[in-house]
Amino acid sequence: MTRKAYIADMADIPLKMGLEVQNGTQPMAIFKLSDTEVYAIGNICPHRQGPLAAGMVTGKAVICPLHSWQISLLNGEPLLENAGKAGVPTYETVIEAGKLYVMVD
Amino acid sequence: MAEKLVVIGNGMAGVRAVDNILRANPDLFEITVIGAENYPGYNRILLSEVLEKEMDWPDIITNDYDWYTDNQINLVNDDPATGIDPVKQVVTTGSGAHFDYDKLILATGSMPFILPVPGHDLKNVVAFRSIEDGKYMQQMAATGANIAVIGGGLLGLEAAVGLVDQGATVSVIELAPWLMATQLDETAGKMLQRDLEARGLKFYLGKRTKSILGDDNGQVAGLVFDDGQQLDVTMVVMSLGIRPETTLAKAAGLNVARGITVDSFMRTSDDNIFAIGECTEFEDQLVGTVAPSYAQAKIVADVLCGEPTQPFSPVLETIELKVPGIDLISAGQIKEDGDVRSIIAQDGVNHAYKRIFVKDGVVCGEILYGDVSDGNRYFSMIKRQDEIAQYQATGLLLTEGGGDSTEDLASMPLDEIICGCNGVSKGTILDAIREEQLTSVAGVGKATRAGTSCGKCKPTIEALLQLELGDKAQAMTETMCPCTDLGYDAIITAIKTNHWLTSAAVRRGLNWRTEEGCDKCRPALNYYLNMLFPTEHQEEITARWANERYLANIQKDGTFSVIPRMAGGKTSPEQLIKIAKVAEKFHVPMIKVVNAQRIGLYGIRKADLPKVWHDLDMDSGEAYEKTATREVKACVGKNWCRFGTIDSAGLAELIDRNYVGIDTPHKVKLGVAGCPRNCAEVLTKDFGVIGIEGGYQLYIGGNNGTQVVEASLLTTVKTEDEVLTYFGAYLQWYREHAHYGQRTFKVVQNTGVENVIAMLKDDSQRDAYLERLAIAKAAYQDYRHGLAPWQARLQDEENLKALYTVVDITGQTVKEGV
Repeated sequence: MTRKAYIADMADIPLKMGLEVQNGTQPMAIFKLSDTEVYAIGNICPHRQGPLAAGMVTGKAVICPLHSWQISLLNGEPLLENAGKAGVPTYETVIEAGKLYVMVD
Repeated sequence: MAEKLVVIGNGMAGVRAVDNILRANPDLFEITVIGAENYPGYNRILLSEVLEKEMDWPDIITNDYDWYTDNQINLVNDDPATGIDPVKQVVTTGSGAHFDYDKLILATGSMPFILPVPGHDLKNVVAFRSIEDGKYMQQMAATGANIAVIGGGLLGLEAAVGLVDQGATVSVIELAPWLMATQLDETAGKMLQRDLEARGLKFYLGKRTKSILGDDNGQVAGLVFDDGQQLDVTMVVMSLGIRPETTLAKAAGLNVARGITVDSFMRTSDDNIFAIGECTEFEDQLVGTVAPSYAQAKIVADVLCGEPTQPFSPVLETIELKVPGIDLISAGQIKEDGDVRSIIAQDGVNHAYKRIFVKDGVVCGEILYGDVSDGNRYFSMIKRQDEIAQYQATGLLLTEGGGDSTEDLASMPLDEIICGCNGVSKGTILDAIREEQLTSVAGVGKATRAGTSCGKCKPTIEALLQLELGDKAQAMTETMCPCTDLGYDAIITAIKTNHWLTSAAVRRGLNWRTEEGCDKCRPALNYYLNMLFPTEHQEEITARWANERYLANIQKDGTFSVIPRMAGGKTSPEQLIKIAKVAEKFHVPMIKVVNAQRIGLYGIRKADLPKVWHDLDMDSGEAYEKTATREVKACVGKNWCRFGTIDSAGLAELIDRNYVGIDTPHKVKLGVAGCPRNCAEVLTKDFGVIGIEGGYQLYIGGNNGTQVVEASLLTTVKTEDEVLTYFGAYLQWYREHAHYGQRTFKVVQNTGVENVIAMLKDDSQRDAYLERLAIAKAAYQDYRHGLAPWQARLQDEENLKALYTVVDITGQTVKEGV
């Protein structure tokens, strides 16, 4: 069953840097690219389990801090030379009255 | 008020030095240029082209009168300098004018050697050295005169061919048994002679001129050899080489050997007087061509403007005869002796000749005649000191890859010099083509100066343009990252010139392929912006890799390490107790004495980092950052060790505290050993100190990683202060010259360790680096409000919240980092 989980006030989320969200066995990384554009993906890099929330954001992708895999924020898929390999889950984000929610199972 | 700079000599070296100074800093000096000839700056190399009527006199003017006016240069022309008073710092000219100076550059050039035989002072005996000489020779040739050229060297032959083509009858007289005897062997010399005879030149080889005969009007009437043979000539051109013009320098009491003695930064024996070009002598060598003169003109400008520069070293050059239809190249050592042997190939059908000289298995010289297509390949082998064991001796003479010159150009290394006169490399030309979207040889010349002096490289530049614009896939090995085609130097120059202060501005200005860059270029741009504009650039934290952003080393499981500073590896009960308490409180799973002589706590969760550092209340060891003194490894030193000669642990702490936290292109590791037993293993460090009785040996450029490199001895000094200044200058040099992510050993290797050593040993160079380092250090301290990194971070609530907050939605609660 999908539930709408409150994450944080939009104003408190860092711009173009990851926010780590613990959620049992499905940790997430949240990326705010602007006041209206926020992405939530799985926090565990498919390569060697690096924490994507600590990665560098470029365009609509994040670069894993461990071995520089690029992961798309749009669909969670690896990019460039690792395209086609297994990716990370993505989560729907909802902004309501300045608050960010993520749809989780 | 601007300092007064006087340049004596309005020739190629002097004008180039002034041009370089104006490019570096147009406001630094009030400049006066004193010249003997009544012309603005012109290109003396092209005199033979003018004589050949391939160019006209105005074509060879490099800097017209407007250039002097526009740049507020006081040109004192047609009025030679006659005296220098080095005490009062005044130059006097022939007209009696006086010019005060703070700094003086002597670029007095050379005088042609005149054979002191009877009749040498007759009216139409000239040396082909100035525009006036050239104009006179042209006039005489046009009347069909009978002219003798004394000297069968490069310039004599170029003059002779020019005169014949203008209608004169020309006899070339040479003492040696064949032409161009210092550059060619007998076979090539004879081949050249036959080809020139076919063009109408007459040769008198092995002949010594006894006297020049005059008529009643003081004009040349003939010439007599010492064997009695007589030639009917009406003009004599002397081309017997040059002598440095040192009259003024000698009279001023400067050290003069054959030329004015200069050090590798162009200083004469007087601190305020510099000398460049053909009037100088450096390490017993004179200058006779434009490439070293221009190199010196760049060095003197950099030194005067306080810019970083490399010391002068003699330039290896090829010699080519600028006569249309005759192809020859000579370079390096071209005489056989005990160690030098040669390989010869002669092609009688195609009238071509090759001879390659080899010493100890290394190619050291070449003579090519008729077919010079392999000239550059051999010259590269000479410069790189290629071993020829891999070639069969005769295979060396075969043309590689079917002689496809496009392919040669494509595979030519970027640092290979294309324009020898101006020292412009293939990489620089390509950068300019790309950066300024150049399409013509003239455009490249304007942007880089390549091809603007003797011009013989113009076809290569043209080929390079075709190669580049025709085939976009041509890869640059030095590009910063896939987001751009530009190399590091071009990017740094563009940042400097445009005074860009943000990475976004750089990416926009240089048409980056990606809007926000990648993890290679982003930290690099952030670094370069800060290095170039330390007081103006705002740190871009989103451009930092995780370690530098979180001020902690990320581990494979996503946790971090915490490593407090223990300068010199020294600690105290108080520190140890704090570390122990924190380790206990946060259940630290791994405590390790690390390689850099301090204690590491491993497995700290991101959200706990601020709390751990708060409890520790210690300086950070900055194990996570690319900064100067994250590791100074030291032995215990003379206060304890019975063999110690210096207080190594104390010196390590001093260096550490002095240069802590300054951003560098990569990590910088240091070591200080108390005696030559070297227990601290400093010879594989970026900077190492070894204590000896009464002093400190300093080592640079060592490395210990995937590549092990032994450090090189920089110098030996007597005091700790000197250790600090040498290290500081070396550090700033590294900051300014490395590609981001490059360790010191790479940069030292690329620059040449002797060059780095010479530069660091020069007081003014060292001072200039230290001055810039001091600005960077102050800016860094401002940025952290004078606090240690974590103490500053703990007061920075915005970043604390942004970086270390972890949200837990398992129970819908929000945990914050603080």
